[in-house]
Amino acid sequence: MLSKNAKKIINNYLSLPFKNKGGVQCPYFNNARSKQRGQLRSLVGKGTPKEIIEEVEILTKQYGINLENLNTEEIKKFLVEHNLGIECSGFITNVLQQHYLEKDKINLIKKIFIPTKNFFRKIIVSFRKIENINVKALANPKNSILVKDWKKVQAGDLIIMLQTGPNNTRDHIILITGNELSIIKYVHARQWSSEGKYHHGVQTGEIKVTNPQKNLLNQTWTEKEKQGENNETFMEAKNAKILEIRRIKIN
Amino acid sequence: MFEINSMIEACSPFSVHLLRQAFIFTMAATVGAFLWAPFLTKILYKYKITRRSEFDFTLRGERRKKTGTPIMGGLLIIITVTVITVLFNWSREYTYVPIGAMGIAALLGAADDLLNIFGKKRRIKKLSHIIKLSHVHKVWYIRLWYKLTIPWAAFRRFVGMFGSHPGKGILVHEKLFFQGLAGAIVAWWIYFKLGSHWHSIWIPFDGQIHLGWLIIPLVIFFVAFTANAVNFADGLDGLAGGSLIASFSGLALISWAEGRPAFTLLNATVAGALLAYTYFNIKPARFQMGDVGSLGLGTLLAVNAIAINKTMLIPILGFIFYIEIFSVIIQVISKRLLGKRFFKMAPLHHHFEFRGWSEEKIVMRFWIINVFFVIVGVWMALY
Repeated sequence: MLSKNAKKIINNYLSLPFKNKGGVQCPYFNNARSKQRGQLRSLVGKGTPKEIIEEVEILTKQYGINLENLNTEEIKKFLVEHNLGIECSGFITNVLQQHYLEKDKINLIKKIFIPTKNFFRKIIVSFRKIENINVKALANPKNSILVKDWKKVQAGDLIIMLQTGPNNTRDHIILITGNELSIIKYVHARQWSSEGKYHHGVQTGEIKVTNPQKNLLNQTWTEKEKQGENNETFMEAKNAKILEIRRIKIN
Repeated sequence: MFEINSMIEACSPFSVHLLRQAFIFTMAATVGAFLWAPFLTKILYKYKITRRSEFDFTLRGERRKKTGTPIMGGLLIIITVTVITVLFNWSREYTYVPIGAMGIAALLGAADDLLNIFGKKRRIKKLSHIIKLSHVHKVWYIRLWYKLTIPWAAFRRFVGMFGSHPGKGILVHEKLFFQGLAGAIVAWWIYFKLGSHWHSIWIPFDGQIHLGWLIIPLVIFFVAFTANAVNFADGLDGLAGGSLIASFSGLALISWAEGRPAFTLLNATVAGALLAYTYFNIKPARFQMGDVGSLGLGTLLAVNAIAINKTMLIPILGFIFYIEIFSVIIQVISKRLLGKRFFKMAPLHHHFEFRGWSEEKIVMRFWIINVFFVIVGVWMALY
């Protein structure tokens, strides 16, 4: 079971805690497209809800926009247009960081092993750890172990999809939040092509175990009331060259 | 009329005669600057040397009101000080180099101000791009050139992080080059012209430390650093001008107490011109200092302190400017290295603006803080 603070941060991503304003879903943002270097964490898709809100407050102040006058839709639009959001591995790292800090007093971000090409990268990584944690790093055997029986997944486990997307160039990661009564619940940060420019972000979903004898892809995936080919998360899982369930291993 | 030549030669500390002369210079500079300020404003409006929101990304929100305010108002001080000094306080030994260094820095600032308005957007190649070119360019000597200039390219990218202009003016590495040049001229003057006494540096409460040739890089550093520090502080109406009045007054006081007439009069002149400038610059400003003023006066502040062997007092006499520049350095390091903001915004005055302080409150509190530290600096100098 995920810790109280981990659940709280998930809820904060699902509905960013702006003052007097609820229901702003944290959008998806991946820095791979804009390739910002040495930027603020919140501007490269790795920020916590608090950091994202702080950046919105600073930017709106600079633009002379009164945040109080914006509705949730407008705030979401503002976030997307200013590259404020979270990407899948950033979201999961921030949630699990809270989980392990509360549960075991362990700083997960410090513990995660990040493979580096050279000494220079190693120095950069030592300063900007979270910014360099990606799906591959979380899937690295030094950081997580394979859960062979998918039916035994538990809250905190990760569904890892490597080489997925239309051209098999993307990686994606999903966090399991519960597994009860044959329903596996999950949460992740993602962008569906069918959602347009503004309606993506952190989203919950579930996998109903309908064929326990078969693999995970033969179960019923439901997200935003969509199933089968309309469910892009399921399609990503289906397209992935490697689909695994892994559990974080603390060294 | 002012009997300057005889006075420059010799003057006793705390001379009442020198103090009287200093006040005359201050009043002359104030009145002189006041008289031609409307003419300068007219010129700046005529040639549209004003802040424009289409070029200036800082003119958003509350700051939009500043759109259309003339910049390069610092010319009022630079020209007034230069004219009065050349006419009545000119000495090849003492005031020649400070005015020259200020002139170089002011020219650099003027070029930056004008390019920011009338120039074209400039880009510098990414370091990764240069490294790639050093491997793949079809011409071998260009590949070699790229390889050899990688450290310079890395330096350009690194210092570029501290830039805040919209990418049209003089780039940070170019600014540093010219500021270094101004610093080098001052260092040459200090080391070779002012005599071996200036090869030592005064340490508060602790006498002198002999530095020898090491005084040269130290001088270059202080000149460039102080010029940029004042430049960063020039972000709110009245802030840089008001704070500089206190700093130059402090320097004038120290010079007077030590019996250095040329510098007493030079600093008094600057303080006088600044009085007139600040009158026009307090909110809502009739004009703003611009880089022409902030870089020029920052350089002069450092040079005048170095020239009276009070280099180590610069961070105290220009306390607010140093706080402002350090807030930028800390913010950049925190953002680039840790991915977090240390301040809500930098320079520090923007942090307080974000916290809801009014412009007037920030400016006046910063003035008071600077006055206090100038008093501390003068007190230290008397030991």
